[in-house]
Amino acid sequence: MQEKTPMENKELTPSESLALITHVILEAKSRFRDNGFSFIFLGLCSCIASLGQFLLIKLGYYQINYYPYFIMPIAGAVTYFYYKKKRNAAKSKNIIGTLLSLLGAMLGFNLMIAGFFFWEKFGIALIPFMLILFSIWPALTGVLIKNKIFLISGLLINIIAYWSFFIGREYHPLVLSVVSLIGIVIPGMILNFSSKESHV
Amino acid sequence: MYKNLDPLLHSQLRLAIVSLLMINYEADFNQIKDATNATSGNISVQIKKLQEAGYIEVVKSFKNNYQNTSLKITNKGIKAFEDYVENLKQYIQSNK
Repeated sequence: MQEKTPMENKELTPSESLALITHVILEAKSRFRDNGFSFIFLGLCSCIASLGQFLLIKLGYYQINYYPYFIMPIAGAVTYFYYKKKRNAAKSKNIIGTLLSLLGAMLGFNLMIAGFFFWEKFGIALIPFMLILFSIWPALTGVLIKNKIFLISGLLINIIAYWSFFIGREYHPLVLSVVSLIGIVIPGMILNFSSKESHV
Repeated sequence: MYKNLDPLLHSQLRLAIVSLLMINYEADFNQIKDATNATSGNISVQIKKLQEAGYIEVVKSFKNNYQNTSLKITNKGIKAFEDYVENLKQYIQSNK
């Protein structure tokens, strides 16, 4: 491992100052990259839950078709404690991380409220509405960490959300499942992979 | 030497501390030490200078029976950093 040169109280040239600021920002961004976990974990849980719902509907278990979504509050709690522990270890509060955690919590909360308590009111618009909320997460992440994969995936999810109004309601959980896998889990894995590579 | 560039920020260690606080709005002493690899004594001196200028706020507390020094950037510090970056850009632009 390369030993870092200790910083001193020396005066810098303007280009050295700019290089230093850029370096500190890049370091902070690379630390944030560890957050691929939330995308992989929550994306996988959402993928499994919606696929489960799709299968239950297909098998005729209409009364209990929403049961698989009960894993989502648990997944949310696991993610919360994972980041709480990680944050305590890092002993710092990163603005990007804090903003995205807050957004994730707000979105998760609203998705659960809509899914468990307002599903009847939403009717056919439930999954498209969930997808629209879902799309904000990767899109904003993409903007904040300047990652094109997340930005494109957020925009694609948004388009799919409106497209899903034109397909049969019974296929909505399948759409959510595929979107979770392709739009959330895979970008999360890429993020995690690039983070591990940059730490080698 | 460099006109319009805040001399307080135009030092390697102080600029690193303020840049770090611009991203992590709160950081503790050890985190700054890890990021800069500077000596504790030197960091303490620079923190004091930034605190006296009103650029940062220092909160001392006890965490698990150990003293913990936590730093936060103030509005004055944010403004100074933004002005510094703006002047830096102009300086580099005019010297191209």
